[in-house]
Amino acid sequence: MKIPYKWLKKYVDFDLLPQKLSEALNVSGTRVETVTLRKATFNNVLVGKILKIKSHPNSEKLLLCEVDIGKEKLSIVCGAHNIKEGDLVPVAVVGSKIKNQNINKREVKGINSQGMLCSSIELDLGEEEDTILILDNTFEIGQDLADILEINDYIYDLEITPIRPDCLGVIGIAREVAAFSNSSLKIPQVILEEKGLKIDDIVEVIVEDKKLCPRYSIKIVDDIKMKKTPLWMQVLLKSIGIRPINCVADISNFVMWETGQPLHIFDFEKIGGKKVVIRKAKEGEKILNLDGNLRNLDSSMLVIADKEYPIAIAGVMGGLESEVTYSTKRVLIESANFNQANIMRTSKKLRLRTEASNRFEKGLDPNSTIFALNRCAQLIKNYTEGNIIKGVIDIYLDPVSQWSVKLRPERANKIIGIDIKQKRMEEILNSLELKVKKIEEVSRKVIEVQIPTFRTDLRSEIDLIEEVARIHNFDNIQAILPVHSQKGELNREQNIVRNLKNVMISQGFYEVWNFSFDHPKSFDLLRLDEKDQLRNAMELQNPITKEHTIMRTTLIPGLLNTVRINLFRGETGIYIFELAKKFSPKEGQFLPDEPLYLGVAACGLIKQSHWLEKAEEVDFYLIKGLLEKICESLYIKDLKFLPLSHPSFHPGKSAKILIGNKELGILGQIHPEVQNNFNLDKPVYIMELDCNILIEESQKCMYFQEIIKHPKSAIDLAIVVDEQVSWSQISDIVKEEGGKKLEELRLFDIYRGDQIEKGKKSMAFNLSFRDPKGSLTDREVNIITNRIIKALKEKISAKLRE
Amino acid sequence: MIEKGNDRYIKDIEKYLKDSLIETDKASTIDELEKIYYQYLGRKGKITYILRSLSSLPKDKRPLVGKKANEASKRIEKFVNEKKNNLKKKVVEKVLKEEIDITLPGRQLQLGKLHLITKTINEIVDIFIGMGYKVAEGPEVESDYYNFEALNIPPDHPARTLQDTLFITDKMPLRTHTSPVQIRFMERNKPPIYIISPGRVYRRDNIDPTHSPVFTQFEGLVVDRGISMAHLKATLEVFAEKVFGEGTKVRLLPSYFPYTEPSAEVLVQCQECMGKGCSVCTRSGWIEILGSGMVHPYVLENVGIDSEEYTGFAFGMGVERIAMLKYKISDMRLFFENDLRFLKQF
Ligand SMILES: [Zn+2]
Repeated sequence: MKIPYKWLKKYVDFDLLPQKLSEALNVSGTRVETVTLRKATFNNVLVGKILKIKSHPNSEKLLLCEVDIGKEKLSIVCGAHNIKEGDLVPVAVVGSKIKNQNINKREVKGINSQGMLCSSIELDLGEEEDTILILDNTFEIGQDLADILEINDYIYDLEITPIRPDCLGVIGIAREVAAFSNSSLKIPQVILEEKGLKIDDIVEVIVEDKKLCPRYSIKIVDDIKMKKTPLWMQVLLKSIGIRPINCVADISNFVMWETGQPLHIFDFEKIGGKKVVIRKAKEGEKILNLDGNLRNLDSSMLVIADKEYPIAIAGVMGGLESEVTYSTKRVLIESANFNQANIMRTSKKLRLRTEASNRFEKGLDPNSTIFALNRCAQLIKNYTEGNIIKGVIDIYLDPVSQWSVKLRPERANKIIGIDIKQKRMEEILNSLELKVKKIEEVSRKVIEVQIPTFRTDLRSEIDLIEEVARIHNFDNIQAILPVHSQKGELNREQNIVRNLKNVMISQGFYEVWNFSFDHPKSFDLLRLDEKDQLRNAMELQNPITKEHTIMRTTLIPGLLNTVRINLFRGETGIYIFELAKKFSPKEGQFLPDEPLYLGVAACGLIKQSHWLEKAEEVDFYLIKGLLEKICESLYIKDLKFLPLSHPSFHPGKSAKILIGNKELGILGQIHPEVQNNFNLDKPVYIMELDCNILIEESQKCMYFQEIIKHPKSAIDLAIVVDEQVSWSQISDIVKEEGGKKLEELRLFDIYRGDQIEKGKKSMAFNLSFRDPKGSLTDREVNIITNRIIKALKEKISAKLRE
Repeated sequence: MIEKGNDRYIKDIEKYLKDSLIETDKASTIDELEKIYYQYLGRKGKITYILRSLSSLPKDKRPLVGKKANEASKRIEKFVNEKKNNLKKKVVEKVLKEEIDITLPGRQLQLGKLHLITKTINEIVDIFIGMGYKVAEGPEVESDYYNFEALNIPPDHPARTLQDTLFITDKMPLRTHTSPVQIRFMERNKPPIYIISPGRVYRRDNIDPTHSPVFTQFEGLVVDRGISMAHLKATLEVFAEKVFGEGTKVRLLPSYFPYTEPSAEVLVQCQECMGKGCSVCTRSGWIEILGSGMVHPYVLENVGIDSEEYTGFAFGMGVERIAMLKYKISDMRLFFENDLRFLKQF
């Protein structure tokens, strides 16, 4: 909400300079978002009176004017013809500046011109280009125009919290300023002169829905002569961001800004049947609004109707047909109170927020309608020479009266963490127009405070404590750390997750954060079946973009997209992971499951070529090795790998990972079609692990394993086996036969080629043995080795390669 | 075995000694020397053999043979060791002559990086763990009750229009803050409560340099006897100093949140100008970094905590915003774009 400094000063007698005011507002809880210094685009433009007009001796188009600017009389050549003797006009005297142009003495067709008469557009005071701006008789000869219109000013943009609708008007802000600056409030006096007809005789008002319209007050002003809005008001409205329309509409906006109470003005002649009905809209009813849009209404919306049709959406926007125009003669001013929740819903439904709806939806004080109504009627009368029709129609069945709230000063001190006297608290409350009604007689420790109805936010003790705290100033609170004996720590799961991320980065992977959203088309790109359960995603009711319509059920699309973006930007090796939740709806429970998953993607070079090393590409085994490291760090053993059949993965290069019989996750190269679908020009290896399984399976307690001091014996073996034989078959046999003394089995070479039979492969591995009881002799090692070789021969027809 | 005469032994010893000395002299590697040593003095060495056979000699011959063998053994050992040391010295000399180009690029093991959000969360979490807080977590898809109602934001509360919410259904929003975690925690735990709750939150905001529909929040909650705004202020001062550096000043200004009262907006000294005023802080010298306040009695009562006996404070901040200020990042989109050139920097 914007407020010019000089305007505010009219309502409260404070003596803070603009910078100090800003600080004081912030400190007391009215946030100043910006302060802008607005400057007139002209200076030294004075009010002058045209004494005489002669025609220019050398030009028919030009006039020669004698202008009185108070201290002297000037002779000025003028090209516009809308002036007459006696008019007050803006005079840019010699030495003045208009839009950065200096006005000098000059000769126009042989005659000296001592300045210039200005049009409204030249002064940024209107749109008229070819005519001189004629000033009304409120101006005086010699006045500096920028000064008298208060154009040079600081404009405050304030952020008003939603519970302080009383501050959505200048008077409300003035009240705040009065409280913290110990100065007095000056609310404009309204004296109504009424004459002529009685309002009840010319219009009938029916409030059909009293719940949605707690109060409806109207007055009528007759015989108005639509005029230009006074310049000062135009300047003011523009400075707060409102476009001047016509005098009557401008006055209603002005009064809304002044009081915080929205008003609406109807052209009375256009109200059919001279009847105003406040009712719910009928299904299918439409209204053409002031903004030129035709809107469909429904029966939840409150409208102001005449005998037949809606003429305004209550509290939101008026109708075009009953708009006040330059030919309007009689206006009906509405100052009403509408149900906060209903206005909020209507405005949301129609996607239409206006200055009025913004105020109503915060819940206004119904007791404030009359002041604004009278103020508006008075101003309209003053500026349009109209007559206020006698009386008011004010339908207000359930008047709200003041309430009181108790405050324990001791409790206030305790919660704020200060120690101020009860008397100081009473002063603070009084300064906010919160009257201390009585002090409890027995204890004298409880004070009862009378709350004015415009402070809709003050309902309980804590509300008053906040008032005390903010006016006392938060800066005056002395900081003290709480003393307590709670132990700070991460729990087991949180520790594991943190460690997991550290393992990932120690292996060269970069962590990414993707949005939690996805789109069903991702499932098609992943080649998922129609019935794949990953397709069972939670849909967003109000997505922001077309790409983000569901909550993700897999981390893979996000990872693949991240890989693509980085490939596209020239990265040659992309090693990334994300640890995040997936969302899957679950039968029988309201909220979805949100399991935590670790997603990994690797693509391209794991090692760049280096002067000492060759470049290395990622492969299946790199990700598998990573998994082994993860499990090693969590003390998880006995991983099992089974062939995976998953539409998104390469059928020959992917695996399902098990720990015992629990499915930990999947790993492998993405299906070449998925690769194409995601526009990836290199294969990507993906792993997705269920973090809950990792957490469950990670060893809670580890015991020390005795370190064997005896020397180790190592031998290498190379065997030739059928191509179909898997390493796990070999390693199972070796481990089985090697027994406890086999410390390590390490595969170091696989060979296929000329030196061995077709369809076979040679696998060379290193065996190390160690015996806790003593040094192993060559003989003992030979016995175990022979046993292993024998078993390999028998079980998988392995041949020893010499 | 003992057919050999006395003299034969002596002769052998002399021959072995001579041979070994010649061999040692010729040897050019440590390995060769070790073989020589083993050949004469090892477990099955030639001199060792003689020493072991002494018992089979007549008693009167034993001292002489024994003496000779011992002498030979000592000489061989000494000679081999001397030669060994010589060789080692030569190796050292040779190695010392080697020279490399120390400016060639190094060989590197891979090292990844945590995302800046994680790094920042960890940093803040550790500050609060140090002050005795635990970490609480909760669902991201929430019920209206936990996200709004329990936090004193009933259905038609004007605060609902402040933040645009993403919904699965009318009654199931994506959490707009991590405050629901605090409600869930208070339902299950009695005071004293000292917790922090970092996590993803959602708003119906378009992506731009300062907004994102998904971002990360970090909230804190304390409920204990006698907790006041003075405690809140001190806690945030510690936080600001640890995150932004010693001496960073903090300021509380009155604000409004439905779930706290009194509520305060928290400002820290602008890091760009250190409080002097610049374009980053719109000339005020201060930057708003978090919201805070005393837990509203309604919120406490609602979870069954006696608000007369216990009071509390809560605060919340955007993790990305903290990181942006700290590392001078001007565009929030970078956090979710995951360009490796961004990720590698932190
Ligand atoms: Zn700054």
